[in-house]
Amino acid sequence: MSDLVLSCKSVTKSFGPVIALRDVDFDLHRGEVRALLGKNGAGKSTLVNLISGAFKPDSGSIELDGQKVVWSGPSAAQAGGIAVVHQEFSLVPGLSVAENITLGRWPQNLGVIDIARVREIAHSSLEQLGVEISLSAEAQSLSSAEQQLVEIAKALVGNPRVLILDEPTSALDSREVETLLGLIRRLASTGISVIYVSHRMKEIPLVADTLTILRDGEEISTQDVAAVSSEQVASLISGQPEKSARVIAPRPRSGRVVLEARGISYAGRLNNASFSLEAGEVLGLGGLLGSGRTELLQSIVGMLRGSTGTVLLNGEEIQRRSPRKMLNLGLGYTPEDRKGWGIFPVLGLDENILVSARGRVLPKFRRSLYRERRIVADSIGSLHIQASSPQQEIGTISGGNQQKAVIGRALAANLQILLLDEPTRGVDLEAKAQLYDVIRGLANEGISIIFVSSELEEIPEVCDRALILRNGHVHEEVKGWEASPEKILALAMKQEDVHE
Amino acid sequence: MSNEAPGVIRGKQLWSAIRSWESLGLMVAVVVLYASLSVASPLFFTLSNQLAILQNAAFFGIVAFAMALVIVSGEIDISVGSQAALSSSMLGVLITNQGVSMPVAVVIVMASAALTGTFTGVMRAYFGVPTFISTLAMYFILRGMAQLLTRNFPFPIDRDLFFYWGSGKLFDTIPVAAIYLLLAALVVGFIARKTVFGRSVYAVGGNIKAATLSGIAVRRVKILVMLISALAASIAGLLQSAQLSSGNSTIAIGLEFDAIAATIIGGTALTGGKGTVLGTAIGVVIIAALLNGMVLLGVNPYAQQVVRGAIVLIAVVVNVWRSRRTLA
Repeated sequence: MSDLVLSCKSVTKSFGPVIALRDVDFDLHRGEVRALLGKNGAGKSTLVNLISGAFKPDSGSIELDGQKVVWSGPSAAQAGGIAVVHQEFSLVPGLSVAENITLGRWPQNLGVIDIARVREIAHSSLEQLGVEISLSAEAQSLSSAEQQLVEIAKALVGNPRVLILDEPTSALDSREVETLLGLIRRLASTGISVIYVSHRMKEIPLVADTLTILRDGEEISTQDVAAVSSEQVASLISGQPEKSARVIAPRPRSGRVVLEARGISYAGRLNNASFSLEAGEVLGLGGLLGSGRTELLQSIVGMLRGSTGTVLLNGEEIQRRSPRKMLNLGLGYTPEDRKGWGIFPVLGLDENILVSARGRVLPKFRRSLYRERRIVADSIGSLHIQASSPQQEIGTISGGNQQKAVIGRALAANLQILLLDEPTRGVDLEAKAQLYDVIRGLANEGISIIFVSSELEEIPEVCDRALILRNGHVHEEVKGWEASPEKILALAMKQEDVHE
Repeated sequence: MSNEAPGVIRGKQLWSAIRSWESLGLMVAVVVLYASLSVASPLFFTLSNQLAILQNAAFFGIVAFAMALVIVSGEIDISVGSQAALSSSMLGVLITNQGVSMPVAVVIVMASAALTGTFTGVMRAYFGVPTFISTLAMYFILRGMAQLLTRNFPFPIDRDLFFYWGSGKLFDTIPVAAIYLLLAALVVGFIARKTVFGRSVYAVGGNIKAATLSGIAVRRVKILVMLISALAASIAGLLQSAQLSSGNSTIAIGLEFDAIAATIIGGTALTGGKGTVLGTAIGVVIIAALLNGMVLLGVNPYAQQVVRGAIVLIAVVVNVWRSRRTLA
């Protein structure tokens, strides 16, 4: 830990009124692997984006090798020696491994690609990483682990000083993770400094020398990995429970099971997951990214082809599930990916609210304009949706209001069971509180709700019970009023038994 | 705070409603086009010529309204011209060769068109074949079948009644085809705006994933849309047969172009989810008036083709520019 490579000095970045990062100092030494930890929205990606030139800091400075740098953009930062491997794969499926590794900087002669040079660069990059992958294989033929390695090899072209890895293991199985962590250690030993962003606690001591924890845009702690326990880290990440945080009052359970999932498995992401949902309760699903929460819900509504296991609605097994069939049976799912799966961006707010109600609570063929108008007005009123008019294109209203409209759509269809996947993502505090009230109100009316949230503070505030998922399996059950964020996080990050 | 305030606000609201009205720019385009054609040719703005425009517009207009549904749902149908030709040929063969009565022949022809449309719809919905490809294939298959049926000779259809239903005139002035055009606009407009199916078409084209999750019968919508398009094409073929008094395999070449062009000029987004029948109707009028005007002005027929193509390009550029502006 001698020479300083990267140094961020009290960098601050805000987006409109939201301060994403406040006065953060971040020093990285040659050959150091630094784990960057924090909840969603803690400021990790903002920090990564500042270092890698995607954003400019509002104040503060970034120094590389003692020189102050101001990147004009990500490519400038890359040329300056900072490489990022993003969580989403960015390989072109139809191009070869060699072409992908050199993508965007293909050596050429008069517009003709110099294939020999391409292969040479790709080869030395893979060699530096220490893996063997056929240079001529098409990217689409690779396993996700190989794709991840090619991504890293791509980042190594141009000999970066700092390598940033964002959740590099989220698509890998445990053996592949081990290999990857070994390769990262090896890279670090050659002098490359690594920033390792991950949610997986058990990887941190295996790969990182030091760790930095961010919470609400502030640096909470930076220390040697060896000096802290994972419980300490977990409580530092989640923060102390706020004094004002509401905790749900214990309620008697109805005992009437409305939805039961038995032994749901799917492509290694769900492993024999089972649970039951009772009438009029809010059931939280806690777990880390990739623990299978979303997949579990998607399997229930029939979005995942090839998932196995049994789903029972009111004691009756439902075969050949599809979102449409489940909706007709009174069960709806609101997706986590609002833009991709939730909204109809070019349609009006009203249309977005009405699509599921039509043909269910509303007539099948002819529209009933009067009833439609009432449903839309009710929905806008009870969910406090803000828009210039009910006809406003939903793509032009704020994310929080879009989210409310997606929930409003499920409510308008008068469903008895709601599966809400991250319903409060991207929603401001006031709207969140309103959503909690709506959800509690629905439960009091006897509607049964599954509530998935990465924001663990929400769980004791909203849920009667919470289930903890790890590796696609439901492990523990916690009572809502006892489900402190620290407790859930500790359970969610618990090390797996070795024999699994 | 004067007493006029509410009135002023209402006036402002009306003005902003007019300004934000999607089809306003199109109306302006129609007015400009009509004004310039009227000035250029004294024959243009006469009742008989305007009715002739409507009659000609019917052939591709009926197809254009269905095409609007197809494109709003995120699909395309380029087989409409061939479908019209096959319908016309089948009609000729059935009536003239087989001696089938006219109403029965019409039912058979339309049923077979419905079958074809269902087929491309099923290919799309269940086998994931893009409609661009399947209808491109149908473009050749259907035209080829029409030519096989007729050996490329017109089959004269000698039926006075049929002629009246196809190209007769109501009160000796209004072409029945124009009435069909109006009816088609009303029917498709009603479907698009007032029925659950119509709104589902917009939802499917707007975001197919969200439509699936929202419990819309996405496959059924796709199949129905292709079926409606094939039916509309078949009707266009029947109308054309009536006007020519023959079943003919060479008709309706380029029909898909005029229909798609009218839809796009009318502001329908090729990406789906957006478009109106009213806009398409204005697009139909623009194309029909333009074609008529160019004939009246004696524009070189080859140059007419250039103008036709250029109009579509301009329309697309305007659409893209407008959607960018609203996003910003």
